[in-house]
Amino acid sequence: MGLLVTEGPRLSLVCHGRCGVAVVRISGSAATTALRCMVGLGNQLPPPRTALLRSITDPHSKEVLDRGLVLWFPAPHSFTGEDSVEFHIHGGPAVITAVLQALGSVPGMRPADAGEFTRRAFHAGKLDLTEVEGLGDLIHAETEAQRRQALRQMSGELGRLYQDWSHRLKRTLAHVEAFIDFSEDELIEEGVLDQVDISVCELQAEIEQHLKDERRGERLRSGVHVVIAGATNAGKSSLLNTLCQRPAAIVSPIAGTTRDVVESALDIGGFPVLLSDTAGLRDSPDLVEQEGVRRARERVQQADLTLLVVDSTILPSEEQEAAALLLEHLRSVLSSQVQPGAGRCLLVLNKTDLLPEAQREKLNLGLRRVSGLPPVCLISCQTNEGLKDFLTVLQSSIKTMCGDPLSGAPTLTQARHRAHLQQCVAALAQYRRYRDSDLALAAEGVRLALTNLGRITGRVGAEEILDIIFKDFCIGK
Amino acid sequence: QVRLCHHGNRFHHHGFLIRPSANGSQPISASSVVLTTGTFLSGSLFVGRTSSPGGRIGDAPSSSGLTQTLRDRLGLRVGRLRTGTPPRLLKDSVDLSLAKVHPPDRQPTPFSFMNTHTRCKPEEQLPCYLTYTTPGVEQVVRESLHLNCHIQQDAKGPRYCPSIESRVLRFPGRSHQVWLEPEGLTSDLLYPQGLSMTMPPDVQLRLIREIPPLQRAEIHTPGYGVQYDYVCPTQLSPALQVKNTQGLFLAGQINGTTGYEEAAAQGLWAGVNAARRALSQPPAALSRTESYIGVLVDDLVSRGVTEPYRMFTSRAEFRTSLRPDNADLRLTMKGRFELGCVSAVRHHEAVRVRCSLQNAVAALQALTMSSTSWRKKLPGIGMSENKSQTLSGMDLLEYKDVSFEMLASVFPECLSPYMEFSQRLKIEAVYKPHNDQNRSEIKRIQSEENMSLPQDIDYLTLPVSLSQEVREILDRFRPSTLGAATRLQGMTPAAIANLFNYVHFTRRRESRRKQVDLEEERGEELCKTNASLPQ
Repeated sequence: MGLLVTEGPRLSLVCHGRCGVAVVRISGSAATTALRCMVGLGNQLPPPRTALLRSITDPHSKEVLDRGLVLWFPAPHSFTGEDSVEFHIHGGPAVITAVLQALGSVPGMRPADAGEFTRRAFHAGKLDLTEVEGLGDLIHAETEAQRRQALRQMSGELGRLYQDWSHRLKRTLAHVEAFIDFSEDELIEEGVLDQVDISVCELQAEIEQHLKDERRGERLRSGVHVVIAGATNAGKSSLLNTLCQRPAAIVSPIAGTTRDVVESALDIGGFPVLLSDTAGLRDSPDLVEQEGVRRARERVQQADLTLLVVDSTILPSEEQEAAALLLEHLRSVLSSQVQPGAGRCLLVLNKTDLLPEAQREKLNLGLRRVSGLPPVCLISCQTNEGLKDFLTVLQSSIKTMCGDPLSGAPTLTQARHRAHLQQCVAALAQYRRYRDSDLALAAEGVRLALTNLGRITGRVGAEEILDIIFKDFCIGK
Repeated sequence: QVRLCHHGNRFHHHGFLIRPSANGSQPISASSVVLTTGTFLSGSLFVGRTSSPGGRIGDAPSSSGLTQTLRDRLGLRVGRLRTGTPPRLLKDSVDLSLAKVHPPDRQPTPFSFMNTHTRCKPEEQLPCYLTYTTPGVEQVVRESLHLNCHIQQDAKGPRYCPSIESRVLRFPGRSHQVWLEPEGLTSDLLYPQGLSMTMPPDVQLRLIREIPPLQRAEIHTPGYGVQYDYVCPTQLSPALQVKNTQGLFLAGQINGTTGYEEAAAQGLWAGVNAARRALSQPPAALSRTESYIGVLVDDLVSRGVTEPYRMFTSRAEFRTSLRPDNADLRLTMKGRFELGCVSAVRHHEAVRVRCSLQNAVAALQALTMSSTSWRKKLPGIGMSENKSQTLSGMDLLEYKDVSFEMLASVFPECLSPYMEFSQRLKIEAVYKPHNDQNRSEIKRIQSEENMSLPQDIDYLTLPVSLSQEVREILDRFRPSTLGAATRLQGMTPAAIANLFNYVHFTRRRESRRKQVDLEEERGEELCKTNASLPQ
């Protein structure tokens, strides 16, 4: 996980949830600045590659945030080949957030992009061949995890807020660019810039206010996101209830009961899990049900782990056919980014109490032999048969996930978002500083602001800006 | 008319044979050819409802033979674009008193760094005139739409407004600018910029006369539209060479661009590379971090075009470094030593300028004083009272109200020798801090541009972890460098990493393995010949 830094120092966080120690890694030209202003070292750099136990303080408020190990790796003998610093701090979310926020306020700091550390190490020739071969997969995993996390953050009020800012900032940049490129010949009125001034002012004020608001109204949703998905009446709600051991959802034989998403926070084997039951996936003329299905699909996109529940009585008896049907079902449910066998899905064949014994055995052994299928569990929510084995498999999947430093952790995402927003505000200030003296530099401020916001909402290319320019202004040949 | 024939087969060609048309002249052989067909490639002219073959009114039409060669024999993907031009008006029939005069620059800046002034004397220049469309213009356009077959209002048209018809239809109810420009110093024609049109000539006259200064205007040549073929430029290398046909270079509108500067830049670049090839030198590439030519060529060959491509500063990531004032410093040395297209005289001048600027900057940086002292020497420059630090002349020059002349008046001995560069020094001071920040990003982009991708990779079966989507994108565009690949739409960071890894490590491993095998073989041979060594 990472807080990244722009072309200067980069931060990364390795670890998640229930861990004793979190490692924050900073790489780049301002690593020494971070070290000096946050660690009491008497204005000297510590001896390289030696662990020191020190207090880590906020550079502005001077409040002690944690006491942990500090390591200094001067270039080129570091992971990325640049000056690097590591803070080994206590792994609780509050400490991590505080340290990350403090680092985000050091000039020149920004959160790292997915895979950036590894990419930098790669470019500096620091990774050997075997590590390099896994590089693409690592970057893919990090990008994917960030994408899922971003999707979670972007749905709901917060997402709408960011999208609105992005839309306005894009338009603002397009208008400044239009003025620079076309004001001489075309009819770009002076009034356009006045409007830009107002937009920039408003955006700056809104973002600053948001930063001050301290996450008010946004519930902290921590833990591994597990989604129960499947066709109607496969037994999803039953599974949820069984796992929660209390009737959280209404279990009814009439298909289409869970209209929305029912959530439950659990502890499974010591790991924090957010379990969601969803509407049965099927085509329905009912508008409310349609919305439920849409939300279900959205949840699967955002999930860390999907439990696909299938009514085992509908499976063909021949195992190859059954496997084929299951694979098809998996493909239609899971996001296109996920390979069914990739460890982010479990197949739960429910209602085995309604199957003849021989059939049960056949499915059990036969499906295990098929490659490309995720782990298969046969259970019955009615009789609790197979439940123990299922819980073992579930626990081990979640444990793997928690060991994976990339999943969950909205605290980190929020810290990352804060840092990007801080950079965005600083860049908008640049617009105002240069507005009257040099419009090109003022425009650079808006460009930089959009780049930083784009790290949250998605990058914006030059063509997108040109699209807006040509739509808003009548530019001739 | 010429026919271009390719000698040899696609992979072992020896050159080109240019066969002029059947008047019996001798064919010309060449090892490199630059093709600049403008709007003539299967060109069709459109006026009103009629169309006729041609690329420009007054010129002989081109045959479609060349397009056939390019498309069928060389297997190039070809598309169609359209453009248009306004009618030319007789100056004497225009009442310029009803338009707003825009006088020329009092001190026109010469285009070339080798000149201190323009050839044309300032007072010899001609002004331009500004006027506007009226609601009558819009009405004529609407009424005549059924007579106008060139107008394309579907999604495939350009995003900007190439003609008065599109301007009026996309932005109705507004007044649009029309610039009346002299066609030449001694010409009796006016060029109405903004009035590109393709309706029948009699309707054109009606439209023109709806504009007050043009109410009695006479048309000398009517406006018209041109449709023409272009070659998808993703099939070109960064040297503007056709990837599957070595020795053939394309430049200008044939690559899907519009505009004189865009065409000139490509002509220059293709010419340089064609010459290099003829001299058996490797092709050259320009980075988008150092020149607009680099931005242009990279945009064309990496991304292709969907509308006639025009250059805007917003396309350049580093436009604060790619400035007209520092063009001489950016490319002259490269042009002289690497490319051989810059004369000694020009190079000498660029060196003089570079040295002088370096000395001037050093002199400015050496002039250090406390901010209080600066405030005393230069009152009223808006430096805040509570600032107290040591500042250099360069720092001062960043201030909005400080000019080089001001500093030179305070320190004449060390600064007046550089008065010639006062403007450039001011610009440099203002942009320097910003450009310094961009340096590492520039380096990263340059290193990606230098990682070349072999052209013969079979992306569809490459044993690398790439999604089907990414494979198809790579196969379609065949980027020449890693940098170009990063700019393709749909490329993911993971795919880039895997691609680079494959190209540089796996291939290196393969060639090393081949080397090892070769050495083993040789070792075996040696051992065999020495089998009868004495015990």
